[in-house]
This record gives sequence, structure tokens and C-alpha cells, in this order.
Amino acid sequence: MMRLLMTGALAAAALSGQTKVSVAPPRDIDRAARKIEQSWKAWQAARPEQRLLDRSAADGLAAIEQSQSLANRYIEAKRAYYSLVASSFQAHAAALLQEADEDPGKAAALREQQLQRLLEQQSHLRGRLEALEKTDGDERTAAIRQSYQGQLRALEGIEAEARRQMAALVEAGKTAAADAAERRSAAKALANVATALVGLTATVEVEGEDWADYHDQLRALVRGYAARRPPSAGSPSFEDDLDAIAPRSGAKSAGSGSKEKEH
Amino acid sequence: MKTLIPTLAAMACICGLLAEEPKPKETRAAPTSELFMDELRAARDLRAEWNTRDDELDAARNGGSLSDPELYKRIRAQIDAVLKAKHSELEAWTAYYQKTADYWQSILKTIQGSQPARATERQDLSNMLVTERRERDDVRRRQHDLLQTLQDKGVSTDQPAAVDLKKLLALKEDNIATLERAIQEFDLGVTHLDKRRDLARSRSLQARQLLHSVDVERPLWDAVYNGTLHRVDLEYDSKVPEPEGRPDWRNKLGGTRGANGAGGGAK
Repeated sequence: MMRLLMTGALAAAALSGQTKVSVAPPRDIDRAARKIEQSWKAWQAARPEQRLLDRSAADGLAAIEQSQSLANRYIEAKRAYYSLVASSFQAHAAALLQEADEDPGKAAALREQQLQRLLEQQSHLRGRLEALEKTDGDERTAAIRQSYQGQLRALEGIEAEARRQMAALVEAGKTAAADAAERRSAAKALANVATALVGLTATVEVEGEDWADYHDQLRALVRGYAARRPPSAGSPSFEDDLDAIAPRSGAKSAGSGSKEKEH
Repeated sequence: MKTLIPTLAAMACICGLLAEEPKPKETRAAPTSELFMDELRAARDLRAEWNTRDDELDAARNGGSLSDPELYKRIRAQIDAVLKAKHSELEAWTAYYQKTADYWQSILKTIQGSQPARATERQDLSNMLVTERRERDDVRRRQHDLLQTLQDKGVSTDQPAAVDLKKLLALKEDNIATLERAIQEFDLGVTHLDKRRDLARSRSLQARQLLHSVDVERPLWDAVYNGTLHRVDLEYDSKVPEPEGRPDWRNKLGGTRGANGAGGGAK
């Protein structure tokens, strides 16, 4: 139900290339997908690179701080989402691997033995019938002959069914073997998908570290630029900027420091 | 079909599989020996029992004359026992075929029922691809913004932050390629599952045909042993009732005359 409601809301987002979800009962994955969307949108609002060096160092550093915090939240949501999807594929592949295969070959072998027995029975009855046909035929002999003939017809019918079953079981063996091959191939393909996703989930951790490094480098850039930049009239110094973000112990407030300079 | 949170056993299994991934030959094959083996063993044992009883019947029949009423009774009882043994064997075959038919029907239903889940799985992969692509686009935008900022301020563009973005861009490209391959692999897996669906349908149909065949077989075995029984009856009752002769009108007339003599005299 929740997912159904989401679908309408996300339809426009889906068309614009964002992630989308279909109509189905809500899953942990869907909840994780929603979180990733929310954290992505929030992170996109922070764009520290734009005119980074035009701002005061304090503003620049605050923007970087905000960007990194939102990046961390996004990376965490992404890690959870990727991890769930990977687990889902692992479970699917494992379930496929755990299925058993059928082997109708043994049944066909049993039927083969039965067929041999049937042929022996028929041969035995034919022998008796032939012997009977050599004798003079009274009504009783005729009745016995009819009985043998009836039995032979029945045995021929059984033989036909036995052959039909044997052929079907041989065919079934081929079908079951083909199914086993397809099942293994499907499981292997899904396991490969799961492996790829597990690998991707691992790169999310790396990615988090890369984004942390990047934000550190942005900070270093802002600090380095501010240190080289001659303070313009009326603008706070780099040290003042830093004090505004993290006041030094025993130092006066940035505002009072500026006032003292003016005096 | 699709378990969101896999069991520990399943996880352990797949972890084993993943560990063995570089050696495809070691992909674990499912056990085949236990599926419907009980039913098949029962059919085999009951067939052996029928064989024995049928041999015993032959031996008893070859013994000699059936004039002895005790022997006649014993042979009749043996015929009943052999037929019962055959019926039991046929029931075992029916149970075996029924189990296989049910099994393949359930496989078919499972595969058909998991189609929506497969669509959802495909969607999950597409979502991941969209995620990676938009992140790549975002890194490019960040790169552009940063370089613009640096150029505007006359700062060298060869900054470590720019290098980090390049690294992230390469990572995104790798991830996109990985996901594209994963989607191809998934589609391949779905193709195999679709083939399984067709095979399961075919196997289910075969099992039902086999069930029908056993049904056809049953009355034929009845006919075989009814024939034997009939012959035993014939051999025991050596006096075959003779057909009634043609009615002789003279006898009839004589009988009538004799019977009506008094009446005639009275006339």
C-alpha cells in the first residue's frame, strides 16, 4: 500500500532519471531506496565548489562541513541500500542452488526390467497356445485357447504401456537433466550478480573515504587561498574566520577582534 | 521465493559459493539421490514381491492335475495374492508419478509466481545503475564548478581536490560498467529461469501421462489374472456343460400325449 502511494509521487522523479519503485508490498529495500533519495536530494542542495573562493573562509569551510556531513549520510544510506539488494540476490542464488534435481533414469531402468519379464510371460503363453492348437479342439479346449488369447492381448497392451512409460521416463530424464543445467546456470548468473553487488557495496566504503579526502582537500584549498589572499578592507582576516568557526581558548570573539583592529 | 533477509544457512551457502567463484567447476550441484527415492524403492520392492509370487504361481500350476479341491483352492488364493501384489506395485508407481507430477507443478508455480519478484530485482539493479550514473554526473558537475572557481581566482587547477574528483569519477565509471555487466548477467539468469519454466511445464505433463499410463495398465493386469483364473476353473471343472440339443417334436408330442391321455379319453 505504501509502495503504491509512493509510485505516484515518484513517477515524475522516475521520468527524470531518478530511482523508481514498482507496485509491490513494501520491502526493506524500498525503505532503503527512499532514504537514499532523501539523502541524495539533501546533499545536492549543498554545492560548496560553486564560488568557493569568493566566499569568506568561514563561509567556505562551513559549506564544506555541511557538504561532508550530508555526503556521509548519503553514503551510509547507499551502503545500506546496496547491501540489502546484494543480500537479496545472494538469497535468491542460494535458494536456487539448494533445490534438488530429479533423476528418472532409475525408474526407467526398473521399467526396463519389467518389460523383460513381460516379454518372457508372453513367450511362455504363446508356447502354451501353440501346443494347444496342435490338439483336437473340443469346446473346453477352445475356451482355454480363448483364455490364452485374451491374456496375450492384455500382455501386449501392458507391453505397449511399459514401452510408452519407458520412453516417457527416458525423455523425462533428458528434461530433468536440462532443467538441472538451467537451474545451475541461473544460480551461477545470480551468484555473479550477487558477487558484483557485494563488490559494489565494498566500494561504497572506499567512496566514503574518497569523499572525506576530497572535503579535506577542499578545506586545505580554502585555508591555503585565504592565507595567501590579502585581506580586503572591511573583510575579516583568515584567522578571524577560523576563530568564528572554532574560537581559540583565551582569544577574544571575532567580532570584538575586528572592532579592536578598527580602533 | 524471494527472501529479503536470507537465512544464515543460505548466507553461509552463498558465501561458500562466492569463495569458490574463481573455480566454476566447483559450483555445488544439488543432491539428486534423495528425490522420490522412497517411492521408487517401494515400487522396486513391490515388483520383486510380485515377481516372486508370480513365479510361485507358475510352479504350482505346473505341478499337475487340478482335480484336488485343496490344490484348486490354494491356486485360486495364489492368483488373488499375485494380483494384489501387482496392484500394490502399480499403486507404488502411481505414488511415484504423482509425487513427480506434484513436484514439477510446484516448480512451475514457483517460477511463474516469482516473475514479479524478478521484475522487482531487475528494477533494483536499474535503480542502482541510475544512482551511479547520477553520481557520476554530479562528480562532473562538482569538477566543473571547482575548476571554474579555481580559474576565476587564477589558482592552479592541479589541486589535490580536483585529483580526488578524478578518482571518484573513475570509480563511478567502474561501478557503472560493473552494474551494466550485472544487469546483463541477471538477464541471462532470467533466460535460464524462463527455460526452466518451459521444462517444468513439459516434465509436469510427462508425469501426468505416466500416471494415465498406470491407470490403463491396471485393468489389463486384471484381465491377465482373470484369464489364469478362468483356465484354472476350466481345468478343475472338467465337465464342460454341453449345449442343449435340438428339441424333438416327437418327444414333446409323446410327453403331451402321455400327459393329456386322460383328458383325451374324456373327450
